[in-house]
Amino acid sequence: MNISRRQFIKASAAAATAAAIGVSVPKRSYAEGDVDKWVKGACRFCGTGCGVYVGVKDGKVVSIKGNPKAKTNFGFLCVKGFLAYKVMNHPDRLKYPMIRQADGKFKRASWDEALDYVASKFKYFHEKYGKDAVAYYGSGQCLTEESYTFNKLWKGGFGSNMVEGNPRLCMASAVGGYITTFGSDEPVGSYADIEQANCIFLVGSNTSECHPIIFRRIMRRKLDNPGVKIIVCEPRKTNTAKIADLWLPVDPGTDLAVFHSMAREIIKNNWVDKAFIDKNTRVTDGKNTYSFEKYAEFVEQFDPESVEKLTRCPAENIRKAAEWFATSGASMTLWTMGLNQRTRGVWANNLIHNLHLITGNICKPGADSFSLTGQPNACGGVRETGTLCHLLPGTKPVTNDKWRAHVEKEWGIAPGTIDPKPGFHTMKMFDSLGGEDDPNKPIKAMLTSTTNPAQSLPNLNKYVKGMKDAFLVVIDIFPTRTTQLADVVLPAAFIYEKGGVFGCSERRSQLTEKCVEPPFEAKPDIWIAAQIAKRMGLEKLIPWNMDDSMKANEMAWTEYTRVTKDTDHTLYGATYDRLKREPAGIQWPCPSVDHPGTYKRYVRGMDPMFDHKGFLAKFGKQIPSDAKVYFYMDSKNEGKANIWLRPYKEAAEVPDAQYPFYLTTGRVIEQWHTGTMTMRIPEIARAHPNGYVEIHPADASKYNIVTGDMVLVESKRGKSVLPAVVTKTSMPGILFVPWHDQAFDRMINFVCNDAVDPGSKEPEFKIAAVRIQRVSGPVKIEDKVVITDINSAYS
Amino acid sequence: MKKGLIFSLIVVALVAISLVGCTMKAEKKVGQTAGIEKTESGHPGSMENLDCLQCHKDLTTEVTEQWEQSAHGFTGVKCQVCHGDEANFQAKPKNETCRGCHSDQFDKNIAKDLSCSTCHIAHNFTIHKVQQYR
Repeated sequence: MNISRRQFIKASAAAATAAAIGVSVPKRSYAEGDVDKWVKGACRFCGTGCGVYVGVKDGKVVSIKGNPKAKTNFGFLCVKGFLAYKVMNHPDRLKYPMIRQADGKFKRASWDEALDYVASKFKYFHEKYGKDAVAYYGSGQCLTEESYTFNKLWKGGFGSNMVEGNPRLCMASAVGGYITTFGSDEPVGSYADIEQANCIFLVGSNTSECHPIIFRRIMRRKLDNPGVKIIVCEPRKTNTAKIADLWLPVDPGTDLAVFHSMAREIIKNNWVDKAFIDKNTRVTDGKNTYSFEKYAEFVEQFDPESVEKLTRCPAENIRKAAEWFATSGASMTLWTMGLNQRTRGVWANNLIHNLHLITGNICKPGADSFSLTGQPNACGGVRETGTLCHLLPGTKPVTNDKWRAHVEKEWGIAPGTIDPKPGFHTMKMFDSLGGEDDPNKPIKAMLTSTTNPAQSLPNLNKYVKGMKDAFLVVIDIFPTRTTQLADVVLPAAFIYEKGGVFGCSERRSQLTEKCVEPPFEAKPDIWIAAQIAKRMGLEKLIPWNMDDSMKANEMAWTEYTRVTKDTDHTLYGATYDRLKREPAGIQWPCPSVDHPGTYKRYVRGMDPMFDHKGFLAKFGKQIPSDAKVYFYMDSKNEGKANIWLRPYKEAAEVPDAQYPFYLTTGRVIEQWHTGTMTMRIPEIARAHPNGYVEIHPADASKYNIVTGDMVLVESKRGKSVLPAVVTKTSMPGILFVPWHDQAFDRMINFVCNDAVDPGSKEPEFKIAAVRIQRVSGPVKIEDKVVITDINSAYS
Repeated sequence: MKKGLIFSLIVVALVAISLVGCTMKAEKKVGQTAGIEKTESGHPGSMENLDCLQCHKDLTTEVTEQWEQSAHGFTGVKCQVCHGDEANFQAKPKNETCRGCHSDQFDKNIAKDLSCSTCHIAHNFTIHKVQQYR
């Protein structure tokens, strides 16, 4: 009897079913003592901030389990966090420092050799080209102590603001939105609002795949309370929409009109919260202040029928969404890259905030306008420590004379050391990076940590040469596309090999204890930063240069929380000792060791800043004693949030006759960013082992494409060739490609647009105009591609 | 109400145990006849470079559909998360696997000799819960 593999599996399906649903009595499977100890920490991946316990046996991490007491995940983990430990003992780990030689090959070096070399090159560039010739490009995956240290070294030590990080590519528009609307970065409420919301509006977020544990909470809220309305606004009908009551399909970038239209319907039906508007808001276009009637007049142009023509979102859906949002009693919006990675990302954020302000859906339980952060420490590590070119610790601008002076005093450096002029934002920084022979490239050297710009920048073709020509130092745990362009590669310790603090989306900082020693000669970033400082005569500035990473971390953390003591972001009460003890971390503002942390900001009785004398004095704030809600960081000192008059504007690039499709990119649940870690975990590498392009059946049929065919996706900037997946997930005319694949031909960021938001400087990853062409039928392509050879070429 | 539910589950479990016994024999026979070797870890045949669902959507449709409507399905806890890879395949996940997300329940489990999935049917648990809520 001949039987194919598929037939065989089908024949045994009943057995598999019964076995898999687990109804037979098993052999004893409980293995006591399978770990020596469990160490408390946080998950390495997205911005949810899941609490974990790391299982250690014989000096190796062998398991991870969720922390049931964590207020973020209540013990649940997604596949990435659950299996993260598997990357730690992977044979591809970078083991030794390496320096590229004249023949183009890397040669192993001692730490002294490598650090001396890096320091001498940095000194040389500083002397020859000035303080801004050497840049730092960090990550929302570095620990808070590490980002703080690099930021201090550059801004306080070198006097240079050439400091950026990949949160510019994901969260800058959310920062811009929060600051322009409420006066201060980061959300008002917390994840705990999910369990109290009656309407949850998910927009520009495939929450189920990108923040699966947050999605679990939303799903549970819906399952427990079927009356809770879930609205999803996305160009794609993703897995997130499975639990939705209403889908608002939109062409990429057009949702600004949908938000305005919802506001129009809310006003027309008198679903507004007049008392909240009068007391707590003002209408503005950034120059002048207007009456609410002016706002009503402004949004009048966005009637649902006209907006349907513009966006493809059915008018009826807009009306329904407006009604549910405004009348539920407590509505919460959650979003991420779909709003942020846009040339009008700040505006998109503002318009969501508008909906909350006009309906009073803010500053009360279950009602919040909540930006989900992409990375585990973009909030805590980069936004809060100010490790961006225009900021200082406390998320305060470098242009603020008073705050600069404060930081200089705290850092013990001479007044005037910190440059009052912001450095270059990420895209400008990479555009300015190049070799000594290129007079148009003022930045000659760069140190990157925990990020992979040679795969993750948009419009890569424009930036690769600069990275290759400049003196590039890369700190990472695996060979990547970026190490292929590097001059020096420094092997890093993984989070569980060094410990430190991550601050997640909901203003919560959690400490991970060091669990095991780093492998081979890998070192914590904080040690590397301190050793470079030492070699550049800045040992006094960065004194935490000891081998004990937890000691160094504690010194950096203690200083950081002292510098930001009286800010609205204060974590002064979150001492290292306390963070070690707290099972769930602490949410700022937390001004003192006896303060429990803050669930909701700007509400008297919940937010400690109302009575924080140091803060009120330092920032000249006076909060009226009868104010229950007060947006105290309002730059006009009126305690009001801004309802923005933002005109409609389309994406930087929209489809035309030559490039007739929208391209949008994103993630899948198993793969993290550029796949350098997740593609090395066998169980999850097999899920989405390569990039692909999703095409609607109507479009596929026009181009004679079936699933598996190879398809060329091409923009004005670059091209990719990917296997097709024909699916109705996206609307016709919209293509989707996940961006984790390291295979050169499938690196979709060559195609993406690097046009930036004029306010946040965040690039428009999410929208590009492209054309497609069927290249061939199915071909065998290389799966699970990772860069393993440190000497391999960028090709 | 709850007692009735537990009794029903036990009955279902007992019926399923006998079914498993029968079908396990059938599986072995088919495997032998076809000459398809199980992998070292016990998965019937090589997984190649495929996501489990690529085959199992068609081949174990009923299980896949149950999973899709379960809490695990909604939140992307896919086959390989619990059942492992080709190298560490487990038809019945160990309790240590469940511990990853359900550590409190793992610690409090008084029937440590039993598999979690004996009572908590991982593929369709939510359906049962939803009915409770209704």
